[in-house]
Amino acid sequence: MDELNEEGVKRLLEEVYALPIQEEYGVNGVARLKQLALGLDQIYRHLAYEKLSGGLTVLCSLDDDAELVAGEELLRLAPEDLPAYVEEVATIQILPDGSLLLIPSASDPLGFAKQAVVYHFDGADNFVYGGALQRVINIGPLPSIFGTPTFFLLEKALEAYRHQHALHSQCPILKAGLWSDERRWFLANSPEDVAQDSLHNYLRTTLRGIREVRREQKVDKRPVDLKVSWALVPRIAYIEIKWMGQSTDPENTKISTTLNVAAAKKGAKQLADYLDDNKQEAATYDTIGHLVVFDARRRGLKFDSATLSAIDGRYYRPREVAYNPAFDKSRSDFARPLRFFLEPAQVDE
Amino acid sequence: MTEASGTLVLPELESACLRSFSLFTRTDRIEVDFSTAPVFCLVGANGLGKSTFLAALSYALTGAVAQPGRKFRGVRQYYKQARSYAPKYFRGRIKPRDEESAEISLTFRAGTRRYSLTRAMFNAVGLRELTITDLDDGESILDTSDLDDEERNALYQANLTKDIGLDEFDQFVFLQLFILSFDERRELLFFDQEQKLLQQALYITFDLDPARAKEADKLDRRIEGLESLARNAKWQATNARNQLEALVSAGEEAFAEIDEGANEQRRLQADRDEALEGQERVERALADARLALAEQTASLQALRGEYDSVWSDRLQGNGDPAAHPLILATIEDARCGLCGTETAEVVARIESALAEHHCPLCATAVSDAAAKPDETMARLGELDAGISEVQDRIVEFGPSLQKLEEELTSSRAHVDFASKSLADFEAKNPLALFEGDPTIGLKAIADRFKAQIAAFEKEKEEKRAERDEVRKKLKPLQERLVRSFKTAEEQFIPSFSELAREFLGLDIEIDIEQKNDTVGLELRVEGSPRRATDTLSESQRFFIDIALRMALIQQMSDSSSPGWLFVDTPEGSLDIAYESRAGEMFNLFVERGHQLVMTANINSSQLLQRLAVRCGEEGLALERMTDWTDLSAVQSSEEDAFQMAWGEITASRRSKEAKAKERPKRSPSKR
Amino acid sequence: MSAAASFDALRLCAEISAASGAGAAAVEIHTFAYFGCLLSVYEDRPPAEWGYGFRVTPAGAPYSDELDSALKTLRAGGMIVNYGHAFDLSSPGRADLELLCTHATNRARLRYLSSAAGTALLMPLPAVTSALSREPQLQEFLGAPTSRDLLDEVGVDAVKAHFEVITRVLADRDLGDDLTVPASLWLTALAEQASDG
Repeated sequence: MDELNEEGVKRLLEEVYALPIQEEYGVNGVARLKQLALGLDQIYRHLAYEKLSGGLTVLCSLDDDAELVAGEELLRLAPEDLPAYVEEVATIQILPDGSLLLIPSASDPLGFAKQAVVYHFDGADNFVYGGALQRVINIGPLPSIFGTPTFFLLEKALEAYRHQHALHSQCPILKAGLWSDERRWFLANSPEDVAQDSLHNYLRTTLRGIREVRREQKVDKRPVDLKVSWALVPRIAYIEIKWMGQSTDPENTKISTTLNVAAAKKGAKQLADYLDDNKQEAATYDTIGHLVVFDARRRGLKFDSATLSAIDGRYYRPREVAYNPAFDKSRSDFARPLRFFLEPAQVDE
Repeated sequence: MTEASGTLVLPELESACLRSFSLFTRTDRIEVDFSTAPVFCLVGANGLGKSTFLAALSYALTGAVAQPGRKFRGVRQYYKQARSYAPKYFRGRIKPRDEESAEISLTFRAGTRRYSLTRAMFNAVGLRELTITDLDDGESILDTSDLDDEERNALYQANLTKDIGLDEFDQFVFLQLFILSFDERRELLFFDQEQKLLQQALYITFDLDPARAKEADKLDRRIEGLESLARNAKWQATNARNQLEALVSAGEEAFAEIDEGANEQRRLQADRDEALEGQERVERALADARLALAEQTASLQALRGEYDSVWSDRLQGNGDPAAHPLILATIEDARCGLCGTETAEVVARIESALAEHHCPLCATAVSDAAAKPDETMARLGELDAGISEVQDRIVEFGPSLQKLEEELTSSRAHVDFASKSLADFEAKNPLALFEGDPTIGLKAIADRFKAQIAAFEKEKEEKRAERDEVRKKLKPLQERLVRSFKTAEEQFIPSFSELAREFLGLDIEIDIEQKNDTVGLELRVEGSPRRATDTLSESQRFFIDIALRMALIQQMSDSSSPGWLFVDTPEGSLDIAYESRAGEMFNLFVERGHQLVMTANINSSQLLQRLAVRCGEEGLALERMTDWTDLSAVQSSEEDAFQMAWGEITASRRSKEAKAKERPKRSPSKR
Repeated sequence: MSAAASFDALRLCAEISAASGAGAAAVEIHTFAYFGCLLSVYEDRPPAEWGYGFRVTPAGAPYSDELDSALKTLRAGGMIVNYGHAFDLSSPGRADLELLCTHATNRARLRYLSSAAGTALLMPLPAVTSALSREPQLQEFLGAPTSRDLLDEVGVDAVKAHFEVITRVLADRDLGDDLTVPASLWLTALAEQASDG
């Protein structure tokens, strides 16, 4: 059985933001922190992170009765009312009964620090302790660790990923590593690794009811990238990741690989074969194969092209791959293949 | 060919088969045919299991394995001990998974009967198979198929003992393990102190009546036992005498000490009694506390059980639909608790059913019992408070129980100490126990001692007298043995001398001698007994001992059934000259008609060479151990040397006639 | 029927629903109950004191028969209701839970359950269950063909070895009664181990 390495654990202390908060505010502080977290989850279910360009300060008072947020435009409301009253910025106190005290303007988070546990969002999570804003370590796919949407169904998670993480490369992993440059015309070398990384990170943060999402070693006979296994039912989902588009060499001097629909179709066949080969697992487990294709095709684009029109850039956005044979129709263990179109960042409108 | 004057019908081996013998790694089944030649030699490097093979053969015959280093305490004892040693010996050589299937089969002839048996390696008292066939008519004498293993073995023992001509089976075991086989790790007949062993061998060989050998053995045991008792009594008498002297010399001083002693003894006794009382008190307190705790624990169990049960009832709703949480939930949340439908109709329908005192689910009329859901929660609250209280009380018990247990431990220690102090004092001061007139006491003690001494002396004399009586019974047997020896010595001594001289090249003689209770043999080299131990090296002594066995076997056996000798050839270094001579000695034994089953290391190749030359192909069957078992790295490295030596030996083993033409024919020894 | 198991089911249903905003799945209730039991072991309570035992299913999740039975009974009794994949408390369920939380019998386990569920407030719920699946016994028994019991002597030793490290790292800090901080640190360490291994 694995043992914990003490030095390694010491280094992880900085990830446990509750600890310095407890040390600063005592045991009461942790209770407030939990209230605050609960409130944040609810706030983020109604307010989109991207909207809050002006910043969001949320606090929970150490003293139940104290109302610390004040101002002319002071509002008392429930979380579901938020979208109507908040544009880009707000300061919110979470009251003991779960309702919110709000002013639609910015405040200095440090100003509340003596009387409350204070959180501040500036594109990422921060808490106030030690007299300063302290960034919270977040390795997840979303700007904040609070308000994470969760799914019981893999299909729903993949759909959400398609729109909210892949389409505009909102996922930080994709944004940082998938492209050869910030124009997002060409994929970097070996984009499949980045794609796998991103999807893996997303699923393990948002899928409920599962035992684990595991990354598989891609070897000859095993084309699948991810394996999702459920915890109380005998179900397994295999996800095979393919991409289309042009990827460059490591030095970004030329196109090294171009993949098209043929690659996607080949992927479908590979997945179908793999499901067949692993029938004995299917005997005790309910097995489904999912093919996802990251689509970065741009019409007529060459490596030395100077411009890319909007039409050419988005040309392939609606163009689904016609799989022949359509395994999802002929097999019960093959899900409808999904295509994640990846928008270019720079086009001439 | 040989003129043995013995009467024992010693058996002759025909074949053997070992199965599932893990030590021999190459094969699961080893078959050996002894009938093709009078000499069978198993050749291999050390550590491959040659000794084990011979031990297995003896085991098949007797169900026993000799354990080196055991003192000989009589034939019967020896058999028992060797039998119990057998599984331990084989356990190290046979893997656990093979234990059940490991077995050895043997076929041999005893007189006019052929024996065929199979013995499991781990059942010394049973035989898996047994047939005995009469060689004259080929008919089977015994059908043992309906018997169990132990019965079969019993039959075997009875039959073989009779066929050989012995009185008891354990005599055969003794014979096989001591005379009919040689292993350097075991006791030597001559040179070890174990004279009793040799004596028993002599009885069996010369006295012609095995029952008498048995009797002599028994008498011997008895004499030893009586000697031991007599010695013991003497020692006790001396001890008591010393104590009495000490007492008398203490004299007057003793008187004064007695009074003090008595007081001290009373004081210590009072201490001990008080300590005991204290211990009992603590024990009672502890028992009470434990009982109280048990009561609390039982009370807790009961309360918990009721809590669970009330809660359970609550969930079932007590049978009153209006109180059932599902109904309550439906009404409050305005949503059907079963299917989730959200319509006002749902609530209305339920409420009306309840108002009419009908069950909303099955429409049965229910009595107008007022719903009291709050009561159950109240009850639960009460029970919870009760549980909490009892738990607190139980926790309080902890420290006080621990304290009592500690007290008990310390009071027990106190009692032990007080008791020991008292006992020690009494042991050192026996006089302290005497109340009343000290002088009388002292005399009484002295008289007591004197009486004890007299009793011990008497015991000693009695045991000695008994011993002498037994000696008288033994004497005629011994004298008879000596006479029998003398009668046979015309044959026996030359027989031995010839063998020994063949080997040693020196004049060597033996004679029988009677010392105290034991009959033994004296060895003289070139006329002097001293020189025996001085001049012979260890290896030479081994071979002399082998020669003695060979002579004994010849002596005891009936001429038609001369029997075998198993020799686990000693590994020690003999001079090359002696090696060949040893080969000659072996050959002489074989020429007299005996069977020889031996092992040899390829290093004793001179012995083997000579034997090969003399016996020829028809006379010497060779078996390579490497066919049986895999070699270790070390052993493999010796393979080349082995191969060469093997080649030489097999080449030497040409037809005897061809060889005979080349050499002057030796006259076989015959008398 | 075990009152302890049904209290745990009710409480966790409430806490996990709050943390997720979308009910509590059965597997999550089992997992967090097991987490609560582990936290009691962290404070050197014997696992038997928890009141019921856990085993690991061939699919690799912790599971308790008593908890399963409690969930069924609570549902039949209308205390919890089933929405899609998950449970939530009904109004009577909430009311009863509030009262049960005042019982001294439940005081200790309430603390452990709250600390366990509290971790799901401070990090995404799937991150908690994912990290917990790296607990030494669950890792060891992964793929075993039959159900195996959790927290036998060997298992307790294994988790205690982990907990000793956590305790040492957090030594000299006053953490009060709430075990959320050590629990979170442990989860972080388990997740870290996963990415290394």
